[in-house]
Amino acid sequence: MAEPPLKGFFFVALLLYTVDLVFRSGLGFGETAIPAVTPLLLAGYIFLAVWAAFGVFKADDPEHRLRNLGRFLIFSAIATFAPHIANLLYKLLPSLATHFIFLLLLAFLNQIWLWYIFATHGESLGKVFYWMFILYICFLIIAAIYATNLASQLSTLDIASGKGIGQQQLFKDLYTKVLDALTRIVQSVGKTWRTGGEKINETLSYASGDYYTGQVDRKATVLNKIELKEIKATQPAFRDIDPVTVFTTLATETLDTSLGTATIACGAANDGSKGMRHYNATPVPAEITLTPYDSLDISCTFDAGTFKTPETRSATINISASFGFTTQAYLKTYWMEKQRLIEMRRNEKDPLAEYNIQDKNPIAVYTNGPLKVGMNIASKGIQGIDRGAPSQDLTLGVTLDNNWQGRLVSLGNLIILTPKGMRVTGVVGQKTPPRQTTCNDPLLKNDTSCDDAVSNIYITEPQNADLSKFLTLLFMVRVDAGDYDKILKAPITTHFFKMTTSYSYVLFKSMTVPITSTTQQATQTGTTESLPATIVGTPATSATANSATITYTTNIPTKDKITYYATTGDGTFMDAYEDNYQSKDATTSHTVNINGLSSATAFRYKIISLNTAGISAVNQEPTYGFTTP
Amino acid sequence: MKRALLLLLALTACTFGGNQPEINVHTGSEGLVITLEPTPAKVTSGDPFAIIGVITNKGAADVDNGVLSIGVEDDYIAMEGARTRPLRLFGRSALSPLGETSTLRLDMTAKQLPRITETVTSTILLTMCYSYTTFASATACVDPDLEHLQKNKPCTTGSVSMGGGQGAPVGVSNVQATMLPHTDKTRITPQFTITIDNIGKGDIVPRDKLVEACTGKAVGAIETVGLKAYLADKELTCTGDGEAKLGRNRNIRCHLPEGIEKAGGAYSTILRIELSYGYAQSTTKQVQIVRTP
Repeated sequence: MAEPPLKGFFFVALLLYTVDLVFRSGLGFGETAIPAVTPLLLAGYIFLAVWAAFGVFKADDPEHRLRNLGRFLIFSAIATFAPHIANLLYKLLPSLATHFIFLLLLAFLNQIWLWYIFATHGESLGKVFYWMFILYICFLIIAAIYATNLASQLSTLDIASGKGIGQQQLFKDLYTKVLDALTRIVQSVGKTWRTGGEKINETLSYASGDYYTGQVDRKATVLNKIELKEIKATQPAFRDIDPVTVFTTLATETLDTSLGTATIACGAANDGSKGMRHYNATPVPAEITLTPYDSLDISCTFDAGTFKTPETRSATINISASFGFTTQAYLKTYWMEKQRLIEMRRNEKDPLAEYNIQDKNPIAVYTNGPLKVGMNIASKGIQGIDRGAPSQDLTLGVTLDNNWQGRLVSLGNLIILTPKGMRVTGVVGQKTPPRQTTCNDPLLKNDTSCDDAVSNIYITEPQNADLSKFLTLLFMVRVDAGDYDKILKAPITTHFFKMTTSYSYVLFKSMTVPITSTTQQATQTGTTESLPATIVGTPATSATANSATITYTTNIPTKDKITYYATTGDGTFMDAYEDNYQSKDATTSHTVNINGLSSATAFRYKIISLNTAGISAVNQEPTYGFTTP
Repeated sequence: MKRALLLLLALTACTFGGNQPEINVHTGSEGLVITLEPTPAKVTSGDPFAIIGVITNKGAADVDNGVLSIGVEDDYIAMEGARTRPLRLFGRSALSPLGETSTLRLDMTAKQLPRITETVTSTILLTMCYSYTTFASATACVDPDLEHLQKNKPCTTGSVSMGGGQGAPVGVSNVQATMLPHTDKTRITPQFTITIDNIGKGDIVPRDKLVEACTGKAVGAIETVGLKAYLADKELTCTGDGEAKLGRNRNIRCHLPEGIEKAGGAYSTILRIELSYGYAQSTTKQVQIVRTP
């Protein structure tokens, strides 16, 4: 059995990797991810390296120990920085970095300490630690499944409902879903590492003065979001003669009562062997009036035969929702008379501590939404006003950046509020200075907090903005000598810069549905019984108080089952009665007797006709009905 | 029986007819102190609320020309009344051992929040600026025997610690006596190194710039106190022309220019120190404003 130091070492390494996985994969942390984690993780990995070299795997002589230390420090560096290395390579060689095998290799390197322990001393660790490692791998897999929503996708399959070619189709669909899920795992890993790279880019941009940061309002309990849920299909697979219907939900949770409408669009691309073809469909509904708390279903149906090509295999369907949104932000700043500020610092006094100010490092705060906002004044800390100067200039930087998974379509007006006494003289790079206005401006009619006595209000529309990247605007602000008393009202005064921006944003979701060519199937089977069944005409129904008889004809011999539902007066489905009837032999003439019904009740039913190949009829909706007297 | 009655009479006389014990008001390190009552944890936008507190002069000196400045974040809070108010409070004395108090009430209203902002936390800053005087006294030993030839002296020169405060936020923490030769060989020059500390929670500002100190105007040099020192009834000459600059070098040296005769021998006497200065100290109150549901 392994000595205690090795076991303790393994346990610490496993704990560190678990913490690493939780924080870096963003499980449940999202906006609150702690930026200081990477240095802490690095410190933990360095500790492992030193412990390994001098405690657990120590060599007999000091020279070898130092050599080991060098090797183990390299291990630790790989473990800490592998995700960032991946992201850097993604920037340089995107095709390589998204390759599945490459990402697996980097994932292996990230866990390098655990592999090393098992490779060198795996046998001596003992069963308990062996199973701890297995549990950790399971945890990794569960985390990946959680991240890619594989579980919910698998649950949509219903293997028991088909047989014959239908069952083959279901297994094929299962394979497609597993492959899709693995692709999502790879994309999720890549996304996590790209996010790290984007953070590095942001930091670099910030260091060069181009990027201003902020944080989402953490005291807000309302999420202030619009979300397009995962797309689902009405069936696990479609034939090329079937209409293809997918649906999703648009959910809103916001305080804004003037959201306007969202425009919905549906599109599809048919992945055939002869290349991509694109299609559009009319969504239902095509326009949605957004309200603060709502959840609205959207469906898209592509007509039967839309994807009918000889070698059709799948179709990728997109649903997008375009809407207007408003994001607000504010930046708290502190102001003092300059000479007094200098005197305090000369006497080694921190003004914020002296005046009992608790928020010592105010950062811009923005309301959650598709854009994130950063704001700051070029000179950080307490701003000093020199009363002897005729005026003072400063620069207010505002950065807008994409915060959600969608795309910024257009940027509308940007409203800046400066403290009374400070005026905006221009925007760097823009010929036209912002327009000054008042609270009576139509753009501010919904803002009851607007106060001309407190703020100067300016409106600008960013010109030639590249909406694919972040946008930074630098506002030139001036304080004239006559306004110094408006700024300096107390020994230390707090003032706020505020910003409101409205813009158009689009969210989109997509999914790939398998499409089966019926022409090919019919050619393969060669019998009419393998053709899809259809119901000829409309079923006839006669009903008594507690029973009903349904009579209909199918085009080919089929074995049928009927599913019927009781409904209320307005058509809401109450109860479902499934598999009530199933014909024994395939036939074209069907008579179905249903007993045990409630009297004076409206029922709706659907007929599932299965031919000898197990393929169901086109109609899957309970469109037929009858009412018991 | 008679003895018991006489004893009872004597005790009664001691209780009702004797002198009251003296209250030493020159202790502690506080001047004006403001105590605020708890406010509601959350205030709904548009609703009024009040900041209520008590200002107490816990020091030994009176405040005649103090200023109270109220700083609010105008974006979120509206306040009625003037932003600066006068402060006048008597200090602790035998008649008022706890110092004079004054009730403070500030009526405010939480403003409406922006359309999609759920809550903000706003800070209210209360600053008191007042002129104050610290009276400190210590027993100093004057010993003309520079060569230390005499034995059995009634006192020895050295350091006198004066911790515990003198009933003011700025006080003398230590006095070091040093006897130096005089140009007149029959005399010696007593020198005292006085250590001054700002032991309160605020800043020292010029006495004549109290309004400026409380309203964001320039005040000039800070952390400077006026100092006068007396050995018995004789005023000492101090470095810095009567001004002590606190900070890294917060010691000031004072000496008696005419010196003391050597022939007199060592003796104890009173060293009195007066510090005059302006003082500014602040306290904050945070109010969380939530939007109207």
